[in-house]
Amino acid sequence: MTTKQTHSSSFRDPSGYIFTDQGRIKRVINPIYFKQYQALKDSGFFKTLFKSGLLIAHEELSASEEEIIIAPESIPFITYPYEWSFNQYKEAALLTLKLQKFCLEKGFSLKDASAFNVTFHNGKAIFIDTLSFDFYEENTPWRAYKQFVTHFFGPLLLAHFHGSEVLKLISNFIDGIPVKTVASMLPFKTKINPFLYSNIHLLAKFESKHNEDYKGEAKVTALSKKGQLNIIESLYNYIKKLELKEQSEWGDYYSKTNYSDDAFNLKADLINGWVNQLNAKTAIDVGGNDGTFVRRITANLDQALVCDIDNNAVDYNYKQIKQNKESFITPFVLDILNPSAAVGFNNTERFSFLKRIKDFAPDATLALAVIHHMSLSGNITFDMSAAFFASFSKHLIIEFPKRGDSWVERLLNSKGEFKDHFNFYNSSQFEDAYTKYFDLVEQHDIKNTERTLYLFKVKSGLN
Amino acid sequence: MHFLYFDPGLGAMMIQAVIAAVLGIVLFVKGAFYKFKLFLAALIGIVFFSKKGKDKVKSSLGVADDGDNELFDDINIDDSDIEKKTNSDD
Repeated sequence: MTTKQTHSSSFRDPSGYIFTDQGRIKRVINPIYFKQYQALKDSGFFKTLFKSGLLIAHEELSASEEEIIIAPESIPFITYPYEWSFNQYKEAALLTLKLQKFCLEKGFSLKDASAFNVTFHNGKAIFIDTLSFDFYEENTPWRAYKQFVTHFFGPLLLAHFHGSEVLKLISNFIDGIPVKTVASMLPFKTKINPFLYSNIHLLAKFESKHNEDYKGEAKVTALSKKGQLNIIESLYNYIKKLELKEQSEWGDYYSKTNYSDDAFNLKADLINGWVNQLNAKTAIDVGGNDGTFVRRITANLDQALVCDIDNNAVDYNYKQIKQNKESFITPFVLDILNPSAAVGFNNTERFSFLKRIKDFAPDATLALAVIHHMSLSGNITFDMSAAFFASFSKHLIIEFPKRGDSWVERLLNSKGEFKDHFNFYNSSQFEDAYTKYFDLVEQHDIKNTERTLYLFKVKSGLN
Repeated sequence: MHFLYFDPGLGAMMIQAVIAAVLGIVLFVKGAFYKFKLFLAALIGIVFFSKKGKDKVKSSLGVADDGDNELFDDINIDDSDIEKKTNSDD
């Protein structure tokens, strides 16, 4: 029997657990789940889902009477639901419904519908909990229906009515946003929509009633497979059409900047040249907007993370990934001034952004047109931002807009009487602070702009 | 009569409050009635004459069809392999 230590996020399911073995994620399947696993394997269920890229592929390493050990395909960087843009969230929801429909057709059912069972890999949403499939019992309703509403349908509806920021609520409600809370936040008109009334408001009422049922006298209702399929399909079609109403802050950022086409191309060429020179295979573009500069890199990157604070920019990047079938870019929403924290039991169920990015250890970090926002909007000193980037970067390509840059002027003017406090914001102090953590490899002024690009290499022993 | 000794400013405020309340009720009822009419119209299929109307009704009833959303495919998974399956996975 294995004595491997359980992964800190894998304690909820008695069917098995995951552990790390020399840096590789493996999964133990307990005897309680052998029947299901064998049926899923023998029927070709797994194979179909692997082939369609909807379920993370695995390799069976060993099988005994005590345990079966499988090794799932490695995912370089896990993103969590509170880091997804609206359409990414939609895709994860649709994937869950798609899997449930497929399960029902093949005599299985998803026993849970947690948004944390999904992540993004190779440019698309993928289900990562191999042990979530159970046998379907005739005429039983979907056990995970309420979980689907609290993890997916509720948050998406709230985002539709109140904006994408609502999706971050799931970082506090890791077991799903309570239906009662969702119902209370929806506008009155949702009560006169039969679909929303039955899936949200009525569910919230039933939940309240059920909570008062201390004796457990609530009847177990029956639902035919056909009835369940109808609900799954109607949810799928409704969610597929859900859209956001908000405008982007940064969506058309590049049309607002003071770059000429030549300067823009020069900047892209410089970055591309440096990334090639570094022979980088992995990269992160912090504040990467819609991934424009990552797409201009000709080096053969295995994985490029592109994060931005703006949902719509990330969403636009995501749509391009889907349309161009790009598999090497992983977009996600991240506020660099407040990166995702570690959450869950013992603060170890879902890892912080810093822990994940340190493990990912990108060969190149891009921070283009981001330092003035960190320094002048977030009041982050150069020393703090340099220490931050040095904690996970091997090489840093950073763009410094000088005081004469129109964006910098605008940010400085917004400081009013505190403008003098920001006198530190200049190239000289920037270089002094950054060279404490990095060795300067190269720097280049971008012609006809007030901006300079720097290539730094982290000092040895700092990360 | 104490009414006669009310401060004129206060009286105006009270009248304004009464008018606002009445108008509020009127507008609320009007809005609710309009929504109810729309709902009824949707149910009896009047709006089925336009595609938008048709979609709205179908959506509100949770039976909307796939339409032309290019980003996401339909709910079905191609399982041609599973049908041909004879051996277990290796």
